[in-house]
Amino acid sequence: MSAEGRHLIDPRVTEKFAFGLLWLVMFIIAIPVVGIIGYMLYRGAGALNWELIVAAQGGLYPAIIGTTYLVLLTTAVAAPIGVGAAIYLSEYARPGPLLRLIRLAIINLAGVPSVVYGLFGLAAFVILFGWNRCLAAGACTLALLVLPLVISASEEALRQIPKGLREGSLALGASKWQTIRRVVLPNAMPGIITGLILSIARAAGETAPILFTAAFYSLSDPFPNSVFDPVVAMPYQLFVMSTEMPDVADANKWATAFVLVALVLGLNVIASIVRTKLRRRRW
Amino acid sequence: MVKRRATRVGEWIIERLIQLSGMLGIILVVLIFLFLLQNSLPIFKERTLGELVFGQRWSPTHGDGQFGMLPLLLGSLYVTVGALVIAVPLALAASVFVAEIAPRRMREFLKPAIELLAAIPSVVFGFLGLLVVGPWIDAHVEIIKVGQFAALGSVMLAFMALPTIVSICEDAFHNVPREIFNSSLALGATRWQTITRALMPAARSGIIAAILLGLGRAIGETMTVLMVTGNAQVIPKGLLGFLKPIRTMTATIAAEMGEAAYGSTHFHTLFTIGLFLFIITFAINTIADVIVRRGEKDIA
Amino acid sequence: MKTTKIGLILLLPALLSATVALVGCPPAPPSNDTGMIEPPDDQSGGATSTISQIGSTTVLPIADAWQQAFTAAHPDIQINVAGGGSGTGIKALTDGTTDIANASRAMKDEEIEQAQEKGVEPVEHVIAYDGIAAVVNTGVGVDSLSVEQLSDIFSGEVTNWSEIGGADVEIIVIGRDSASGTYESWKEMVIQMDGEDKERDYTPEALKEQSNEGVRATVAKTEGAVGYVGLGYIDESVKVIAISPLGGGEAVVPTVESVKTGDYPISRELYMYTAGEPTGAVATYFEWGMGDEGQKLVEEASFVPVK
Repeated sequence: MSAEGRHLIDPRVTEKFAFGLLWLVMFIIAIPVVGIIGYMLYRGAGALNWELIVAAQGGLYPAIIGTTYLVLLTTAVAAPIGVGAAIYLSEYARPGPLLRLIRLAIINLAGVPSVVYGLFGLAAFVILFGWNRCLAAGACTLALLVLPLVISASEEALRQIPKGLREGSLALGASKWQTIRRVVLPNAMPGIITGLILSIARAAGETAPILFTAAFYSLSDPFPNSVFDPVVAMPYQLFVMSTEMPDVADANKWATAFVLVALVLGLNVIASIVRTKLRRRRW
Repeated sequence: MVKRRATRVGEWIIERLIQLSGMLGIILVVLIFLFLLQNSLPIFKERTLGELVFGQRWSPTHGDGQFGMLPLLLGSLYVTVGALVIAVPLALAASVFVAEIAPRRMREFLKPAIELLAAIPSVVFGFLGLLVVGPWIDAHVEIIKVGQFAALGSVMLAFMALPTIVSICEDAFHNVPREIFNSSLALGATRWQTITRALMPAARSGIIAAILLGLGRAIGETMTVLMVTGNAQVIPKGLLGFLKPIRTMTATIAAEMGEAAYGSTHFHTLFTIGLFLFIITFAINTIADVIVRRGEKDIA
Repeated sequence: MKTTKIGLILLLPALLSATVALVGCPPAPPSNDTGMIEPPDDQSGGATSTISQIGSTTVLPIADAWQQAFTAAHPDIQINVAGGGSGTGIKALTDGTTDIANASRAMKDEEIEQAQEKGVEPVEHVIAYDGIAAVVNTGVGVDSLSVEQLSDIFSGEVTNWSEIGGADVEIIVIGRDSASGTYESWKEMVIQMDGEDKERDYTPEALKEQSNEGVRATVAKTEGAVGYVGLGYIDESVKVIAISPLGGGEAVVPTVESVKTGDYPISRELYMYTAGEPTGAVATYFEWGMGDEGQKLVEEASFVPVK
């Protein structure tokens, strides 16, 4: 921009114009998002009824149960490893090339496409371990996917505990591990739990990782009897209903989409409430 | 004494376990790479890398199988670039808005709202694109022949990548020292001038990293593109290619793995696509990380 | 107090995952012993034998109808039916984790070799035929086509309906996923004209839908569209094309009847595979399915009975 050009228009006018434009952009983003999500809630809530939920065949109930199994098992696998890794990063690791490498690895894990996790799960759990398409294989695959989320949330929670608290405990003669277990972890628990809830929400909505590792479509026997049975899961159900199965009433699809979104968003809201509560605490 | 020793042994074990889980990130990245590689290697006994990457025809069950990935690579490129062209300006505007312009109360509402948008599962975006957005565009836009095309995937992906880009950009704005902002205002610059000439340059590395991470997310997205882009394995040509059906790498894996015979050439080729995806996203994320780190050093 | 609680929170998942890891080490046992009928359990009087079948989603409607009717007649036998794709089903049969693999395509040579390596001798059962109909959008102005013309359309030689006597509308080809059985059958029988031109393939411009239903819905919505679906998926939203056979002849509308008599030329086989000749409960199931009752259900699901 030339010097003259700069003064042709009053900068304050430019500012007004630019800010107006930004407000406009916000509306351009908000209108389709609110419109579509609103439409989905409207169609979904309209389609949802008790019969559709509890119906044994083609109902939502099996998918809800299946997804619950899947996310619980996922958390059971991811939580100890993820929290362990976070403890290592915040309490044990010394700055240096190794730490740098670990962080780079975690960042990259978070960026691996979900369908690639699905391929890994297929190659490792389904084929190499011979588990076949089952709950355990799907849960382990999803656990890897949410691991970076668990690690970073837990590490942040651990780092917020003031140094003084640790030093006090050490000064009283507690060992490092005792300090971590009795002082640091309990205080970081709300933050860790927030991270776990968020990772549950993420795992509940993922389709690609369970596509070849766990999910199946079944009308007759949807409930797994063991962790080595395949499982009916909500996102996969929605995918199959909207692309593969004939004669599925639109109402069923909308209801499934609605319940899935409600579940995922509900978990996120719970997580943010836990986090807000945590923020109120002052050290 | 005995008890004390037992405790110590217990602690030693626990600390080793913690150390192990700390290393797990590295171990996992290496394992994922090795598994993909191991399952891809058999294909290279039959085809050369050049035949795979530059082959123009993807038709796995035709003859001995044609595994040219060029249509898929270009398909991913089209959808992703399209998504970024839409998402980046919108996301930049939104992040400036949230960080500097929105009234306090509105900001408190917008930030969680954007996080919630990020949480919506991709299969739901695909569902909405397939059932609502695609047919609507097909009915109202003359030039669109089928309600499943590349640009529709780009639009859906743009909205999915938006929250990622916005929140990282916003963090970057936050990390810019307030003194820069205040001294610019004190020199008589308007807030807009300050935002464009002081704040954005200072947050440059964060913005670039945000775009790269959005790029990584868009390339790897699977279910949405599988459901809305029509999956025709054509080599897209020119700008018109955006309005035609297209097929991405991720959608190919998701659509064909269930039917492919285990251990067949087709099966291994799908793993090769996965390997390429892994390498591409790995490069993008590593570059983003390097840029962020350099930016942090600059500010410090 | 608080510490024990936290200990528990951390310990429980750890235990769970350890169990998963330990139990998971050996390959999962087959879901049941193929065809073994165990002595009935007097106490519950419930199912005593379980048949599991997994595979193609195309076969799913038949398998599901059979399962419902068969278990009503044989309360001592329980059947679990699952979709997941032909490849998945065949892999499960090879690994011994299912009794029956449903497939919409024949097993490939490499799959048979893999099964034999693991000591499984797959036995093929053709359980139904699936007539494949060409369907078009209602606005194309064409009612009947020859196989040669369809071949030209699907291979991209002809790109406008006016070239073959229809309206001046661009042709949009809708196909199935390249891994699906319907995709291959249509290619062999129509595009390659029963093997006459082995070089011909789909035009790359063809859209790929994941299902019959997806093809039907897209053809119905899209001007100038042509696709192919199984007979069961035809409805009034699309127009069914009468097809005249290779080398000329009268055009025939696809119906269950015309496929059964062989007048309509395009149909394919649907399969169930077992490991070795079926015995016990599985044998009972097949006997029933291939009998009158089972084959009547095939017809009700808009597939074509074998007999």
